[in-house]
Amino acid sequence: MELKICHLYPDVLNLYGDRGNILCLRRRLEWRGLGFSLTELPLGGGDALGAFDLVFIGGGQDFEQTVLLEDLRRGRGADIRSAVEDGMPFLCVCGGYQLLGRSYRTADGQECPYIGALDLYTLGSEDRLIGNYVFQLEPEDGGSLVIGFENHGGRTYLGSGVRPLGRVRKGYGNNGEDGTEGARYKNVFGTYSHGPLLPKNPAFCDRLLACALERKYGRADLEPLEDAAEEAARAGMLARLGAD
Amino acid sequence: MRLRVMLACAACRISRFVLRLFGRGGTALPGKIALRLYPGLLARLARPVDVIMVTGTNGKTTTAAMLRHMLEQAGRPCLSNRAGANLLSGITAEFVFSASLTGRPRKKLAVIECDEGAFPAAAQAIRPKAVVVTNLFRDQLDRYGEVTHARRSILSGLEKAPEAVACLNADCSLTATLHLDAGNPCLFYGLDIPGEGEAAAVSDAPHCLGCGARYAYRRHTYAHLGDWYCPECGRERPRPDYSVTSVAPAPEGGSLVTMAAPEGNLNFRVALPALYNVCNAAAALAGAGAMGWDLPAAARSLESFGAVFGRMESLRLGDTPVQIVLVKNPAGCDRALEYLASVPGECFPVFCLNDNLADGTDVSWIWDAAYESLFARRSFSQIGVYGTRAQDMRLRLKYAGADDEKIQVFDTADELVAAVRGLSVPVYILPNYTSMLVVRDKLAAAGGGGKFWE
Repeated sequence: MELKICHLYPDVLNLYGDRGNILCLRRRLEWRGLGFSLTELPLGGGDALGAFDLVFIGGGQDFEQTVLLEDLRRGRGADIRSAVEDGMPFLCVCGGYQLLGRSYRTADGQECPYIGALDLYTLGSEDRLIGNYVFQLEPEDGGSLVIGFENHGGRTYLGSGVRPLGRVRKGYGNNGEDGTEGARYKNVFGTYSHGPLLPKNPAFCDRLLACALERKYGRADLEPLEDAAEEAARAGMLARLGAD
Repeated sequence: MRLRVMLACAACRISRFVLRLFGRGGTALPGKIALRLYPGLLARLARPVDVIMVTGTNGKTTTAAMLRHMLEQAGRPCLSNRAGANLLSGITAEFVFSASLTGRPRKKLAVIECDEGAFPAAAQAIRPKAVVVTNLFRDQLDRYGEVTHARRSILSGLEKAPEAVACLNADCSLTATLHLDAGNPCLFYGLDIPGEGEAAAVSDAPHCLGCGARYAYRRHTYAHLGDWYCPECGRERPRPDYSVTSVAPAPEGGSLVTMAAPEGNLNFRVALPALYNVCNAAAALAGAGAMGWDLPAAARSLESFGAVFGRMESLRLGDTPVQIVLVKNPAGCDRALEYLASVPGECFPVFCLNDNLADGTDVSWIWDAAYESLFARRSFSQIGVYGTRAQDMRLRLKYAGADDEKIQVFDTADELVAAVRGLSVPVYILPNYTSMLVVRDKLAAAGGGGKFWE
């Protein structure tokens, strides 16, 4: 068994240790004797997403998102929408998460349409929501606590067409108001927790891998791994944030 | 007015005295108190002083120390913020300590290292004669948001000191293009050496700030540094006024460097190892040129320039040689890992990671540094980790290919020092900023060295 993973826009959406997420997916497949291949699709990259088993989109800088919107309009946006509807597993972080929504409105009222793959929108704000945070996945995704670091100016609000990825235990999440964090729709996992989200959240990483394996092979038997280092890193931060 | 200056200066001195009674070496609080009493204090104290400022992401401290060393060797006294107190409060305190009780400067020259975020306010108050910008890399993103944000900050500082000569790194597109946006007189320094360096896996500056197209390179030095150009709009690396044309390993250590400068060709030795210290030397010489110092003498002085404060600093604990290599961001970390990989024979590496405010509370950057390439090139029979985020460091090393069972987690710096003592192999400590302060302090205490502000 092998998963073909696509890192979309690594040339523009690559802030904050996003590589750690790819590395984690890779190692947790390799440690189980499962195959892994990585394709990086930069701006203007030709392949359609349907050829892959899991797509990762990271966060980026404001400056580079303008370059990106042009590429999305040239066809990649439609490609993402059809892959999402087709049940392709996506992990989208921060800027990549916002992009899948309907729109982004800047602090001075400028409306910028995004690709609309997910029923959510984002409002820009000058003051950023920054810090270590913890949220709990919904029961259907295993219900584990996810520890991350958020750093976003945008406040994201979910429409009725999507569910939250989890509930905030400590920190801000989507908007700092309604207690939701991230979004779930079909096999899309969107979150503000920027890279490296997965290494410290092995249960969440395995949930993504299982999602992709089930879709491709109809089953996912993931052997448990030795996670002592992961558990130690989790315990330290959970205790510090008072979320243990 | 005069009374306020005296009062603010006195408060600054007294608070430092009190802090030292309690064994603390801070300059931030005394400076803060002084500025609270008289916000215009820094501008007032700096007015009669010829100042060269150094800012940028990596190499500030070493470049500033090189400039200071040039002046010391020339017998010219200068004031300088030595202990890495590079925010507005620390810089102000330094000016206070070197002034008379009435606020008259006792030194005519200053070398000031300045944090990118503090640069606009500091430059506006100080009105430096020259500013050296070393480079821009991703660093401490939770504080400044983005690397383009740090660039805006530096630009705004340059605009507030329009007469300052900006000495810009031609090889860094983010830095070099400041000349297009700032009205300052500019000069450039850079590396024009043959050979191909290695680009970072993740570039911090992939796209042209002018038109958004992807930069192309005629040559890479390392990370996003090199001979860059934009194939779309034609922006390109400016020709360096201070151009390093050859670098060779020196038999006595460090690098033999040839530089073409407006003042003529220079041949000199940079005693510190590694190519990035040649970059720092080029930055310092461009700064010296902008200040009108004797350039051949400045270049010669680099031969006797040793390490500063945790930047490749070597010490001994009993019979164990210990080297401290400060790492704060992926670009600097990759250089340090390269150095560590090249160490012959067995050694004990210790990776220290804190997430205090001065470090940046976001430690994600460790996942962008190429630890994989270290473990692909060599192995260790024992590895140490320490710091408030030691467990995150451990996890990073595990994913990089280290054997988790060989990783020893030190809960305190005392435990770390105890483990280091008596080792027969050399120890390489790679700490970030505040973990470096703690470890260095403990090592100094165990080996009888001095405290850092002395």
